Amino acid sequence: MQNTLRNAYLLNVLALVGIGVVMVFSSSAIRVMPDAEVDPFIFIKRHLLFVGLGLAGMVLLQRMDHTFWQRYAKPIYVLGLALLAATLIPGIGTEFNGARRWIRFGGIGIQPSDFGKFALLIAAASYAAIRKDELGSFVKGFLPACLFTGIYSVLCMAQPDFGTSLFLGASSFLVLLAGGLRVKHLLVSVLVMLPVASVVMYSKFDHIQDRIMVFLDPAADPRGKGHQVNQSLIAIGSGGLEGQGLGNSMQKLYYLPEQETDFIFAVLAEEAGFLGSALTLALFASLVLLGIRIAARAPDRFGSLLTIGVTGAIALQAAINIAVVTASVPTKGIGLPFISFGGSGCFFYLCAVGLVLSVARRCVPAEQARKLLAEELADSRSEQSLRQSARARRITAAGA
Amino acid sequence: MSKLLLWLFADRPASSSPRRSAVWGLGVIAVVIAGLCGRLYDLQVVQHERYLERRNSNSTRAVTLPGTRGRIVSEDGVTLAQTTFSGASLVVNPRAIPADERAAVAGRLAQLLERDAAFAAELERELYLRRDKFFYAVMREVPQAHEAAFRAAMAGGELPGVELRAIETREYPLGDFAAHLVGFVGSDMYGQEGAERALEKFLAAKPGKRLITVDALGRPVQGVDDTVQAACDGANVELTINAGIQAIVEDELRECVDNWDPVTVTVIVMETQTGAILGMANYPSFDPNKPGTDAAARTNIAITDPIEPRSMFKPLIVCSAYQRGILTPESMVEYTPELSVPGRKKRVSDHGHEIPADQLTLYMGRNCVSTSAALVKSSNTVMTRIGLMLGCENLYNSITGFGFGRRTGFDLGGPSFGESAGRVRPLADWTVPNSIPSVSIGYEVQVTPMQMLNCFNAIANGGRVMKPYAVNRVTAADGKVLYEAQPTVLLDTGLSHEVTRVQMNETLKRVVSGEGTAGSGALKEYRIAGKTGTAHKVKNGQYSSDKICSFVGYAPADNPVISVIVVVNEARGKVLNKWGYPIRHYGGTVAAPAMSRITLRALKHLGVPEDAPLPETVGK
Repeated sequence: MQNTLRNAYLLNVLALVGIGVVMVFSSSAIRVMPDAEVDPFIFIKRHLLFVGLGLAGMVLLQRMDHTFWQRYAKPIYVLGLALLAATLIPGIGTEFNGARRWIRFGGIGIQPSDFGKFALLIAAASYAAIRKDELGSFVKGFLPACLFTGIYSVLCMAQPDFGTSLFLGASSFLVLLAGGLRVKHLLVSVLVMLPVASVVMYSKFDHIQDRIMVFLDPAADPRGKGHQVNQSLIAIGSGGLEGQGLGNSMQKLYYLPEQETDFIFAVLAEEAGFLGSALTLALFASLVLLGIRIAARAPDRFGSLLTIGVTGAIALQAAINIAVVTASVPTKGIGLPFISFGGSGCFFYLCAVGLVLSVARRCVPAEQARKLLAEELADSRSEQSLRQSARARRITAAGA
Repeated sequence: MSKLLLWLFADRPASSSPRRSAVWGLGVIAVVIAGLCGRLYDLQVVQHERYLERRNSNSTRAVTLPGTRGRIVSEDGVTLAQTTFSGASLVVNPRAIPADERAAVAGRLAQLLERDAAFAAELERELYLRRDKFFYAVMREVPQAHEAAFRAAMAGGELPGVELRAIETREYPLGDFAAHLVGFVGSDMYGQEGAERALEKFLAAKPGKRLITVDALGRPVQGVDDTVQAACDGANVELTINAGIQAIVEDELRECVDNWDPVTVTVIVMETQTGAILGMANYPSFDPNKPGTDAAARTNIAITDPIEPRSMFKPLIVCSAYQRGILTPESMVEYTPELSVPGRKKRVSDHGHEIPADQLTLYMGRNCVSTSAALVKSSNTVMTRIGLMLGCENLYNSITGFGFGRRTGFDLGGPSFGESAGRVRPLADWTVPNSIPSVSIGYEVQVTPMQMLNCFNAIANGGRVMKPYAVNRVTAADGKVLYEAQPTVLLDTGLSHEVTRVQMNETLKRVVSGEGTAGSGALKEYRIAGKTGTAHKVKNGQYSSDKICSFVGYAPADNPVISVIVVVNEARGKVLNKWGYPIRHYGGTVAAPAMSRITLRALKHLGVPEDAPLPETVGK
């Protein structure tokens, strides 16, 4: 039974990776065609290399005991912190398009923020699992969580990479909320911070202004700032129900920038139509479903939270990417997990899947899971009754 | 407040299990995915057509495939206008030039054109400014010497985005031959005058299109077939012009210009029975290959410039009197060299061409002359008497009945070509003492040469005013006949055969004989019937001594084939007669000889059998 779940999750991921390989080839091959001396297969070769490395990492990690990561959560967290900080040091971090997001080792560049996501998920899951009793507290639970998540976010923002820093925060809090962080703490602090933060962001970063303007009115500057979103919509819309056929995308012929990375979904939608794009969406949805099933049967709290975190991060990133590509939210440079061309992102996501698989391998049978759930609920019920009695006391006191 | 703080910051243990929160998460994710799915459905299925259209308009570039403009030929098959493709113009697709090659391409082009570095720098700037555009014309005509070098460089791949395009040229092989009828085209190949303009919709080719799928840089995508809509060549136009007659007309016109040094000359030859224009020429003229800017030379004055017809108008008065049975050719009318009309200051006079006393008949104590003899001698006073007999209304009806005061319906004319309707005063403005004497001798009306010819043509063909036409047939490129001219009667004058073919014909024949004003136009081979006209030009509001000499007529008189008008405006040349005196400028001396030569040569060209030689007595 455990194996069925694990295999289903694995197959689901492999299906997405397969779609990714096909689409990266389809959207990138044309890009290098006109210049004869460049190898048309250069993108797909590099993509396959990272996919291969990622699959190897996945196989390795799924064999390991996931509790290992709980034990080494702190060093991993610190390593991630160090790498993120390193991007800011001139000479180590490589500047590209006005942002220092890359560290180069020899010929290969990695984005520390990709490792950062991985590290922060482990840290958050471990934190939530160990300090489950204090998580409901504002001072002991919420503030420390804000702190360790915030450091990552701030470092990311300094690169500057506004989108990733937001994404790091979101995925970390996803795990923490699942672990018992109180929603109201988060909501209230977000509500308090939001006006300040948005004013600062809006005035500090020009491109955020532009992107919001473009989102509000994509047709205002179709050849300038709105170009990418417009071309993306044309690609998706012209796909129709059945699509133009694999390899027949017109928009990938330089009309659509970032066609093999952030906007690969638009090419997919154009070539495979609504059927193809809905199928991709369905694969992400089923991955979430399977992830939740695994989380429900995880042998311990950490495993459960880790599964929720990884699956949630994948789903969150996919949802943001597709929303961006369909102009449903302002533009944000973020790849589509498993499908976009992108070295380290793909590698670390596959490694993270390895973690989930390692949890899935140790899944407990359904009855035991129910028992575990009952225990946890019993705990919380007793807590709840405590809280209710406290409230009753308060009410009576107030009444008196 | 304290309660709120308590609610916010109260320390409480975690309440939920991750397993339970997962269910919440599932709900949220389901909503998000459903939303995205709906958005995709909206974009891809509902709005599909709209986006597909935008994609296609984005990624296809239409290249126009030029068709060939139709030819214009004469009735006897001589090409008057044709389109050829020759030479090459240099055009560039700036979008297809990579930014780092722009300087190199500009430099190479300058080098191939043997231009300096400044030209290259300027060109590079232009290419930079147009880097988003698909088209930039560098040079309209590449010198032939450079063409081969260009083609070699292009074949060698040195010049991305550079293209040599054949230049469409409209050619008029015979130069100014029938220029006012053929017209010309502008640099955009759009007809500007004459048949080129009137038949633009037939002549113009419908350009085809080649739809090329291009990438965002404007480069054609390999492996995608182009969609081709073939061009449709323009239709060929056949004019009614007979090249042989037109050549005769132009030849005689040139002769006339050489002799008389006039300001303008107009000659029209019309087929009597149909109204088809066989030849038509004006001086000054122009070469449609180089139309120039002289608008006056490009104007077809035969239809645009009205003149006072003077004596050419007299047959109309006489005709009207015959028609109404008031007079016959033999009717006697009193003759006085001068005539004063009550209420009119100036007397009507035959000064200078009085009818000699020996030709007058004494009748009831007065000098009389027959109506026909009065017309032959072009007597002003007799015409005025006849006009007074007819009265304003009859006179007016006769004039408008011949189509004066309205446009002729000429197919290369009409208001947009500046065709004039001439001028006939409305009947309400007529007064007996002023209008009748003036109109009777061809003043106070203005007519175009075409209208005048049309009027005589009606006398020649038995009373039908034909609609003149110059377009015989329009044939599509595939041979289908799109238009075929049918002779059309513009007005039926209601004149009887007796009046036109017998009474008028006999009188007008006598004009072109020893006894008439156009004796110099008489021919041995053919009998011409016609009438001269000599009008003083109005200059600065007064009649000056400068004259418009004209002659209009038809031949052979008894079986008319062609009608011809010659109008010589302000002859200035001195031609000496055989006695060494300069010939005075009259319709009979200036226009009639030209008209008769044209008639002779044209009839010979058409193979019209010669008339029987005249008995000596009639000739003298």
